[in-house]
Amino acid sequence: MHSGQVKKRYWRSYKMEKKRISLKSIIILQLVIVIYTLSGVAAKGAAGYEMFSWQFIFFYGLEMAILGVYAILWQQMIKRFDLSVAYANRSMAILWSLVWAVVFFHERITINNVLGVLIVLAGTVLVNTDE
Amino acid sequence: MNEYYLLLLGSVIVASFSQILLKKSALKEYSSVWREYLNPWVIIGYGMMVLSTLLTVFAYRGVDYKNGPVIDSVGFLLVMLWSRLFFGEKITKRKVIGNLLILTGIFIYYL
Repeated sequence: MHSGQVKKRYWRSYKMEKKRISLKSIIILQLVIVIYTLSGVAAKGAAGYEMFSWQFIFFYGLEMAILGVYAILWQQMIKRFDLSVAYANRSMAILWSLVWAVVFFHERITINNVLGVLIVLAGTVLVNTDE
Repeated sequence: MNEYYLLLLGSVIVASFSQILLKKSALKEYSSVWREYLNPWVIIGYGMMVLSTLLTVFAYRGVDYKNGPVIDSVGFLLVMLWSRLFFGEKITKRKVIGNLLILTGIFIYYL
């Protein structure tokens, strides 16, 4: 029982010293960035229609609405993260955009696209595991 | 390098500063959720972001689209620097290498 208490205290101080970012909070931050990249999908959708046509207004309005939601959520994110960490996570927009490019627009992806995304991912992981 | 590139760089600098204003607001305590958003920091912050998008549009008159995201990625270094200056967020070796990898990845992506 005594050793259990010591262990508990050890963990508490360990947590306070390291202050590692939890995987859960990173996933939430990435979801906010996914929402951000969806604004680009709406923009690309609008681009296919004549300006001021109903379809154009719909997609452009959708883009603005998504950006509005993103702005509200982003403010909540930088409340919880260091700005330098939160901002570095935004680089993963490059991955999500690539996913949407394939899923929604059937665009072709290149080796450089994939290689670039992997390097960006490695960089983001490094920043997130900073102590 | 022509002046349009400088304009694009200016747009990136303005956008990076807008993040500082947003973070300034995020560090304060507010009496209501509305005040978290309707305060000078956030309003001016998003005003600067709009200004930055306008600068970007003008800059693209003289900059090839493929070069845009590469110059835009300078923002990662700027935000890291401003975060140190304004909020004392440490620039660690890991952060520097991580951000340089991000820049390298973006460069290769658009190669």
